[in-house]
Amino acid sequence: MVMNILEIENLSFSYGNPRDMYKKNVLDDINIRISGSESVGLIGENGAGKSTFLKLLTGLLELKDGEIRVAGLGLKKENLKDIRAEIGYVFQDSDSQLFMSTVYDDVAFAPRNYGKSEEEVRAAALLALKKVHMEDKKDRQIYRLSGGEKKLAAIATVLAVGAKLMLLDEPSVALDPKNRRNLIRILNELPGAKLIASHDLDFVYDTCERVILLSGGRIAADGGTKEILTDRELLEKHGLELPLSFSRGCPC
Amino acid sequence: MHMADALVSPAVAGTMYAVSTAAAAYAVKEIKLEDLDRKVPAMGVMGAFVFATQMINFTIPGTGSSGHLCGGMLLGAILGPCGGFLTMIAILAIQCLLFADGGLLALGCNVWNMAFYGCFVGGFLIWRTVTGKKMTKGRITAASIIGCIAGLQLGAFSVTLQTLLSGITELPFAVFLGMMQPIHLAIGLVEGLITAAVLVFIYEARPEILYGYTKEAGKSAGRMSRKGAVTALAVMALIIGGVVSLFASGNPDGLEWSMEKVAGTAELAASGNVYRIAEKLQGITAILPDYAFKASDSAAGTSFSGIVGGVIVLVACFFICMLVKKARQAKEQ
Amino acid sequence: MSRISDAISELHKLDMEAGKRGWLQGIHPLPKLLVTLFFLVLVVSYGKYDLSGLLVLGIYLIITFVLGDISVKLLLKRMRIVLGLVCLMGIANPFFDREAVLILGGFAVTGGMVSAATLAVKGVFAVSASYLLIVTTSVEDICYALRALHVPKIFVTVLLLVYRYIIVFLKEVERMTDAYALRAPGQKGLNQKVWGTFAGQLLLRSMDRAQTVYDSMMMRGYNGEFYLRCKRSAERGDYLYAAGWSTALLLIRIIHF
Repeated sequence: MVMNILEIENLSFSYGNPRDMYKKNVLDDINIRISGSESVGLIGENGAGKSTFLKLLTGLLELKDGEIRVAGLGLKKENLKDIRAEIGYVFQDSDSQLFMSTVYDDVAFAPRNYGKSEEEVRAAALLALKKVHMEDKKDRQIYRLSGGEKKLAAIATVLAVGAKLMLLDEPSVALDPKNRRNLIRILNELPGAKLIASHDLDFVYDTCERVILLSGGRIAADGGTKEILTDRELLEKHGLELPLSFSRGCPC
Repeated sequence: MHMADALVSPAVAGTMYAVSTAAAAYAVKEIKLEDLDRKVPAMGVMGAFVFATQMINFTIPGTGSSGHLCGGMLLGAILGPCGGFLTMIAILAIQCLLFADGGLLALGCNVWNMAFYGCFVGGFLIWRTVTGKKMTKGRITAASIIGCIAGLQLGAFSVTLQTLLSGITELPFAVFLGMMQPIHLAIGLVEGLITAAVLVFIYEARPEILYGYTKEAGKSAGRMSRKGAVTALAVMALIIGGVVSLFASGNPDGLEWSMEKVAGTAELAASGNVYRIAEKLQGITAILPDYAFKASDSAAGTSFSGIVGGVIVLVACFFICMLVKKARQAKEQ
Repeated sequence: MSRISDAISELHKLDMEAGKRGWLQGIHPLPKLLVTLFFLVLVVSYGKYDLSGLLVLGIYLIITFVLGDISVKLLLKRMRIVLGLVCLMGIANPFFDREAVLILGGFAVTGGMVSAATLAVKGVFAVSASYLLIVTTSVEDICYALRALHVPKIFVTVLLLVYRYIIVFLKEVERMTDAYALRAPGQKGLNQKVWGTFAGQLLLRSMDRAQTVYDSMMMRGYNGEFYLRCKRSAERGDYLYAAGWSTALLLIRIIHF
């Protein structure tokens, strides 16, 4: 049996006071299993609950209803540190994610926090930077990186702890076509499970083999990328549009 | 009011470093009792915010000029006095290192004149006194204006005192003070109004960000017990910063002169104890060259040949260095 | 606003300079910081008429600037603020102190003139020395030196964070002021009506950013400890640099030319 890196059962969530009678669930009865090497796209229109969902998985929002297991560990306060070593979260805003001055120091931040020796930290950081092809920029000031380089550096910070599941929040936002292609190539090179929340459906098509469609806090569809992303009726019903590459009539 | 290195004497710089360090040590100790994990990123980001927003020109109605935001007051009202103070020090250190705004040696003075008065007096004593019982828009505005004015007045006074005690200007104390205080009264008023506008906006949008705000009908509460400690600290530090640096000054003539004006000689004579303590402190802080070397504070020592000699030494040094550099480059090739 | 873009380009240039490979850049930050402070203390320790003695101290600057291949272009720009301030303070001296100290071809040089000149030289020396430090040492390296001097970690961390986010915020403020200026032609600054909202909005966004930074730290195992490590520890050459300069400078001060 293939071990699931992520198991979610009956997850529901709402902000604010649970007794508020007008409150609406942002997430409602979500069940998902992701195996150790899957790349999954999480799509849905603005406000569908994608970001809330990612924050719940990482314990940044408190889990109230349902169960989440990461690499077999239940999401609880006492497990948070172990779980966060398994999950890497790539924030939408790279500038907030990268808070150290230089690329190397930022990538080394997590391994240092996990009590590694300085040689181990160095090895882990350099390997992570190599995986995103950023070795030559390790001593750069973060503010001197381009948007694309910042995104890659952010991915390297996550790889440096050896996360088995990577969560990416809108990774392709504000990237030019060349950087975007580069990011797609690098993501496809990386082993391990990935959950990519995006409304850039072309990007999802190029990086994921499975797609979960969230709509109004519920799972509206869960299946192969091609089936879902070519289903115009389904997408339009949930406020999305066909990926550009299909709408042009060339699904290739 | 950033002071440059050239404007301070070693004794004044050393004293102010000591005093500012003591205040910073207190702030570090106090802030560790708070929710530090969360506070550190907030301090860093807010520091950068204040740094950047101080570059915005706020147009003063009816005049052609513009004013700026008061960092100390704002940081004090949001991060609390200790968090605000440490953040202000970071801002001042970066301004001095990266933008040559204020000197490295004068940093102790600048921290005191701007960060301490801004955060502890304006951003805490006055902020808490005025908004402590009840937080309303009017009270926030009043606190901001009074706080900014008080902070800047104290700061301007210290700048005057420190410059004069360093003995670098011949400007009479009264003239200097007469220039500094009114200018900073106007600046304080404008900065207060700008800061008030920002704080009132925050109060309406997300009041929970403001230091000391609690939900119960806009009432604010908090660790009032600390107020006593901070007041004591402030008063003590005022004495150390103001009076002791007078004694530690390397310019006794200017000192006597200004003491007569500031305190009156009679009072000075009565405070013999303070004087003795100050003398001890002076012994500690004045290991600095003013005392260790024979300072040639008389103009008689100046000679034309001396100055020319100095210039010649520099020029010769420059040419020798250039030769060494050339030789090195030749060797590399 | 040109002030903002000036500040951004200044930071870029300083970083480029500090990132160069030279012998001065290679010296451990701690000795460089200490020598700089020592030099500054000596500079201000000279008496207000002691121009000749003070000038000799400039040897330190000349040697390091020439042999360290330090560009003076940026330095000249930085002089402006300080010289302005120093002149403001020194300008009164020639008026109040009119005792002639020497006669130069029938022209009486007064004590006030000498003290004003001394003050200006002090200003130039002090700014040059600080510039020398920052142009050969990155801010992170200075932070490591501060840690070595046992400056509390929380303060050093805040300093690093402020430095990290200055550019981010400067750019944001620049975008906002540009957007404002485009829709409010002819205004020199910010109208009083938007004082609070303009900076307040940015402040709220800053607090949100602080929250994200905090989340990002938590996601990476942050537990209140910031690990700051210097790229290398001090070696013999570094000690020699510190010892050599302090001795030389001290000698200059004591012998007193």
